[in-house]
Amino acid sequence: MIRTRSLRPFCAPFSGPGLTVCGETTRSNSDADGSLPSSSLRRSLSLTVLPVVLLAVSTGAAAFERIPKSVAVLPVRNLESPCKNIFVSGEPERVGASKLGAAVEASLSTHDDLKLVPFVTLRNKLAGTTAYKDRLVVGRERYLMGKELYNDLRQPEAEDSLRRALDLLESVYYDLVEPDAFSEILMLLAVTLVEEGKSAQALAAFKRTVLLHPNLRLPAGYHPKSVEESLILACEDVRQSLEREIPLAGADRTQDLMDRHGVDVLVLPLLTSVEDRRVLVLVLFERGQLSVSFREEVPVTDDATTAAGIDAAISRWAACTPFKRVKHGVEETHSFVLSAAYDHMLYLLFPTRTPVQSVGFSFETGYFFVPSFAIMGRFQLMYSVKDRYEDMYEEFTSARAIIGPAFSLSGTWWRVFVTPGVELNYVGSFSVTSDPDCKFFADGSDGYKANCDPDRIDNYPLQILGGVNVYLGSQFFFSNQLFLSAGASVSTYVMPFDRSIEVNFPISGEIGGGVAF
Amino acid sequence: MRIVSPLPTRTPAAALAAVLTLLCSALPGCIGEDDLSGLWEMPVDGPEVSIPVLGEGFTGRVRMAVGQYGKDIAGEVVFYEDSYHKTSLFAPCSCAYLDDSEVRDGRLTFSIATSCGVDILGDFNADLGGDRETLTGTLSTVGDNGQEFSLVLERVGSEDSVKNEELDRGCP
Repeated sequence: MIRTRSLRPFCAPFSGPGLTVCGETTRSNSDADGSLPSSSLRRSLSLTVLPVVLLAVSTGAAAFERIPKSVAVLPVRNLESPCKNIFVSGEPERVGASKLGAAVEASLSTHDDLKLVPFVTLRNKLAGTTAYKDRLVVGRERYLMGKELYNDLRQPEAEDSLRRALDLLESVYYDLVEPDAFSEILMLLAVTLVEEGKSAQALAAFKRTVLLHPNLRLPAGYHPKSVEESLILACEDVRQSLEREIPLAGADRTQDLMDRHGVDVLVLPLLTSVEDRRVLVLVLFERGQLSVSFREEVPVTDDATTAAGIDAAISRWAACTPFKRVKHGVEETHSFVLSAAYDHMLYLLFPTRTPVQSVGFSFETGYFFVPSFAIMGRFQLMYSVKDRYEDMYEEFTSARAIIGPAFSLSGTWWRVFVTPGVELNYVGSFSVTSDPDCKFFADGSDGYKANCDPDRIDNYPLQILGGVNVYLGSQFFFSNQLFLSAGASVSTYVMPFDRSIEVNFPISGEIGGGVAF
Repeated sequence: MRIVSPLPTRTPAAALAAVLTLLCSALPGCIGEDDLSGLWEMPVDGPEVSIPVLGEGFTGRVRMAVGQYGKDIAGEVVFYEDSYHKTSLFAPCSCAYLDDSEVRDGRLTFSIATSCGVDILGDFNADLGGDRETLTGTLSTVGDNGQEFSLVLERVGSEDSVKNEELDRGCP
């Protein structure tokens, strides 16, 4: 029996729309398919399939990497205090809401796959745009105008001006940046609507006011009774409805915020009381999903227990949420490369009538200090072959050493790089002739002695040439560490400086393979 | 503005062909040029050739060992009298080295100076297209009474045959 641990946790829909419950599961092949005919067949299948699966899993797991999700945590929405407290004078209760928010952020920051975006950062980002600054000025002007119109008892005009102010400020998420200031405008709109007799619209405005400013405190008796009643009603309504669990007065706006600012997950912590128990409700929204993607209630007791509850809830969600996977470029996963190749080289300048070719092997090593930059060294051992007119009378061996920086580009399975380097080429002694008699007759034979003039054979002693080399290489990974390679290079020699260079401009092509680690 | 390369490398196939041509140009026998290297003989089932001015008169067959290096040619011509065993060499002047020899457009020309004191010019056209590879031409004696003798040579072996028969060691 083969037991394989599934790579993805098993997730099943939970009761309630948009909610999931997750847990990892273990599957066995025999459980999945009990109809395998015999144990021997099963064993043979195991022996065949297992190595392939292990190889695929090991290479695949190493090559692919999850893309972290960016997570922003909104300030804790504290709905704990009773609605009647709105008109109770004194300091608003805070009851450690900010501490709970910090605990949620701390829990999220422990996950490698999550990238926490502190709310301060998100807020600064929202408030830092030119559009925000421009619309804030106009929006505030409209608000002040609405306030003046209200004071002049011109409620319809005031309502219009206030709504335009709210629309403008909403478009730049002023309600998220300055919730208290935004709720002040909403409050004035709600009062205006009450005075206009538009009680349903006023209730909606009051509800949003209370959501944005849960610890709203107003002096009792300052507002007309109808306003106080409507506000209390809105407050009670908000505490019982699911509206409290929607962050920006709508799923569309929430998605828009996440899309515009690259937030993958938005966490709304809600502090509330259920039958005298304090409960932290964690509501998570994910980009691309219009419904709540995760909801969990965590009892708030002592700090340690609460933190553990938050950790458990976050872990459950993190285990289930799908992550995009990306296969990194090869240069991001390897530092060393080692390869060997078959080489074919052509000297464009040579004391023969046609270019001379050499064949041989090369060995190459490189170390990537940073992605896209490495130091590479190559050693080649080459043997010359007959030229077209067989002018190469005595063939030669050469050894080349090349070192230089490499600049590379890579994809998920390929890498191309260029290496400008310095080269030393040890060229063994050789001789050249264009006399056909010297070529045709065997050395030392009567025919050779009779026809070949030794003066027509030019001898070249061994020499060491120095110059520059440019190598263009490519690697094609067929597994995580193994690759096939192909490349081409060209050199020019400038050493020795006495103009005695008879051999120059070698171009070479190579094909081989190697390992990266 | 689109820059058009003057080289025939506008497609990957053309570029590859250009590279292969460059590589091939450096290899012997890679480009399809006529290669006369090898061993050539008059066919056994053909008529013999008579050259009366050679020695006291030669009647027999001719074989020729050729090495070609570009347009340059080296080798030797052997005269023998035994059609089958090729061992009965024409005693007075059995062999001569090719001089001033070259091949151009499938036409092989050379001169030989025989030890009999007769210089001979050779002029042959190669036909390497069919099943039988042949050199068809003449041997002409040089002098006031120059004579021309037509003959056909057939390739019977490669460079290896030349070496195996030790014709690359010089005249026997």
